[in-house]
Amino acid sequence: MEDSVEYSIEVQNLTKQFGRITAIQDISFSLKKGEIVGFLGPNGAGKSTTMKILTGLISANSGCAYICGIPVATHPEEIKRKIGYMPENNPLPVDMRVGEYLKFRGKIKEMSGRKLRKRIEYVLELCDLTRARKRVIAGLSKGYRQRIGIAEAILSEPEVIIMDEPTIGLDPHQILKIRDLIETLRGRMSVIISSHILPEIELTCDRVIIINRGFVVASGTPSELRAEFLSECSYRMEVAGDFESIDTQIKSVSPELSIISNEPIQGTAMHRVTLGGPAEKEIGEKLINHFSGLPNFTLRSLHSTEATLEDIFLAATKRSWEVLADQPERLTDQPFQNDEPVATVEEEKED
Amino acid sequence: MKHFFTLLKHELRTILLSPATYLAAFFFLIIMGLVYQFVLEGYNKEPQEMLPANIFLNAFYIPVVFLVPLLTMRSIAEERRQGLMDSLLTTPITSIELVASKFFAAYLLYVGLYGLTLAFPAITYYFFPDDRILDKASLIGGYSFICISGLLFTSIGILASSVTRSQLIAGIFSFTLLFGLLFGENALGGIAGDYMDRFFLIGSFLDYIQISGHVEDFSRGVIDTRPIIFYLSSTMVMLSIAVLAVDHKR
Repeated sequence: MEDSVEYSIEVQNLTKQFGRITAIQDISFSLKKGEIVGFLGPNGAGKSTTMKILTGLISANSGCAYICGIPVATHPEEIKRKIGYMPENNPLPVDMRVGEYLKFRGKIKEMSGRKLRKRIEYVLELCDLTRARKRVIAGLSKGYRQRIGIAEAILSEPEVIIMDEPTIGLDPHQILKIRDLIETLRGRMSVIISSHILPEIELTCDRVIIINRGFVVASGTPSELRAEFLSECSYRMEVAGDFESIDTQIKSVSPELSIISNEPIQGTAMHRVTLGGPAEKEIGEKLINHFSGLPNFTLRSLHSTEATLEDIFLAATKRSWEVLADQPERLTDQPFQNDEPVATVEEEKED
Repeated sequence: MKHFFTLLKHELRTILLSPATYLAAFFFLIIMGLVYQFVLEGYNKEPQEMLPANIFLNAFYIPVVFLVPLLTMRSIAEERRQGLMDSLLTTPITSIELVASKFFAAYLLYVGLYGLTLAFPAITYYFFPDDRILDKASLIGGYSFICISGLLFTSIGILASSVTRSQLIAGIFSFTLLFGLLFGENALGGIAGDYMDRFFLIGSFLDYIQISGHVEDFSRGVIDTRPIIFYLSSTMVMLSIAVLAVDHKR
């Protein structure tokens, strides 16, 4: 237990089954205090189930979950004072006004008097809701509603914020605002966010946990994951000169480099050449130095393109599918024994 | 129970903002008004054995079968369907506080609506000042019974709302339970008929839960503790099942 106190969230071997469907299996991860972690996974991977277990809404079949060192299963009332939860689709009582709703939630979160009033003012300001405080929720756009959900989650200054798809259905402007909002929480609260909008996660989160089919398939910072899953990188250069010898020149910089495409740029003598090769910083410098020194080549620009989180996500989930397919004995106790897509837990429950 | 009053206030606000409440109140007052009118018409035609208040209060349960479902069907079922229940249960409130607040909010409204029917004898008394119209024993006894039996009826509505996500199913379920409770005993008694003597225990049990029997006693001003215990204990059972349903169906 002493060890767990340094973590805001600690999950050990969590397993949850809904009838024959295994929603999550043996999931383990942890969040340090003040950390912002992205929780990724395809539909039905078990993200929402894990989050619901962390909030004490549902109980796991086996394994342990701790919030600030307190076991969720045995002390659900205590952990509810330490968390702020924004559920998927962010349900709100549509007939209430924004200010009224926050006041009501503050009261049931055991806040009162001046402290509650000051805190409501603060979150309204922070979430850019001050002008909407007297408006009825039913008349507000999706962006406003999402911000109300976030305002409510941070209202009581909980130690842990759990947000299930906070940016779903938002336009780029609203996503930017919510990203800034989450940024303001950094270091003060531990935040776990599940999202499908991967660039958002990459920009906002310190660390990423990817789950697929109920298993954690990758965990680490985006750069660690990049190194683990996609060691290759692409380089795009705009160059003019002797294109017949360009392949030899590139191989002389690094034999691992290869030309993926070579297209002329209309109206100029330049070509746009895309190379594939190992993701090493020195290669870019070597390419610049090499082509600058060649009299028969003119190098106009060079870009390196790193793998995005989306590429990592696809690679990690694909690898987990391959691992599962290679381990028939492991599949025997799984509900998804064939290669058929698995019905998501959410879908099952709705049915 | 420290969040109870916050939740109760919120529930009362929700109920008072819901159009279903006003629809229920409208039909309820129309039906009760018509019943009172029939009672007075009866007196106009020929002398009656019972006081007008007695006859009127004996018919109090007619609107219960639709009033209670309309007041309670939304409470838990709709919140669960919208996902608001999950959001509420991640705060430090307990499911007991949640169910109790919904129950008392609906109950207060139920009692309030029946309270409005006191206006009927009061208006009649204003135009025809006759002490028999405002017979204190009948009115106190009858309205006490409405308050006590209302606990059970409302708790049945809350129970029905707690076991489903659909308002419609909750409404039909509570209507069926209330109909069975209010009118089923007579039907059972009819079926049992002559065999009642042989099955003395069943017969006495049916007598014990016979609501029409209770209301007759109360509206004559006889306050018996046995029905009070029956209504209170049944209410506790219904609400306990509702709490279990809220805890279980997350």
